[in-house]
Amino acid sequence: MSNTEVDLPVDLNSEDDTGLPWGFLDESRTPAKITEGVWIIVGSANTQAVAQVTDVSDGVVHVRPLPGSVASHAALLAAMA
Amino acid sequence: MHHHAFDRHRCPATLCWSYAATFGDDELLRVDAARFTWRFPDWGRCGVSGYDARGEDEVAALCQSKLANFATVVVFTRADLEAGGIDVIGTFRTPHVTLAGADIAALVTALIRCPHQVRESPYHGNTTTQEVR
Repeated sequence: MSNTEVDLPVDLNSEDDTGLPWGFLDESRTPAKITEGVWIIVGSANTQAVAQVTDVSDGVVHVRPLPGSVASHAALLAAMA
Repeated sequence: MHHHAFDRHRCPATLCWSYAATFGDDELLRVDAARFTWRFPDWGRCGVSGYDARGEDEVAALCQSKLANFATVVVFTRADLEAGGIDVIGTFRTPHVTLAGADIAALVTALIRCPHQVRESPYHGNTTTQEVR
């Protein structure tokens, strides 16, 4: 289990009609950060991934996760800081 | 909620579903089922996401794509899920399915009790520039 805090809780197993995993904006600890195009950390206490926010609509956030560890995509996250 | 008609002729022999390293974490299951229920209140049921696999090759393919972020995957047979009172409903885009129950508590209990295999994903941790989805 990782101790990495996620920006947005997402069931990485989920998808909807977009074919992408999704989460609720109001579950984010940093909702102001969740805008289209940004790279964030998503997932749960057990599994995290770096993902790009593809859209935010009616409180639902779709993300496109990358394979690999959060650390392996540190450059993408740093660019968002 | 849009979902595909259930076609038994396309039923896979196995069903792949993932839940990180701690499948026994029923609180995580409960949270995911609750999030599903909030998102699709008109459906009248609760569920969690899963993916169909028609055999071992498709389990491996899922581990390399949809489930690439998971260190372990959990594999059920459809027969065991259905015997446990869990409906397997094709939803959204193939091979996505929803494992559905009448309420969250019953669904979580049935999933935990359902016979399953927990497998290490040989593809977890691979980093490529390819997007998973």
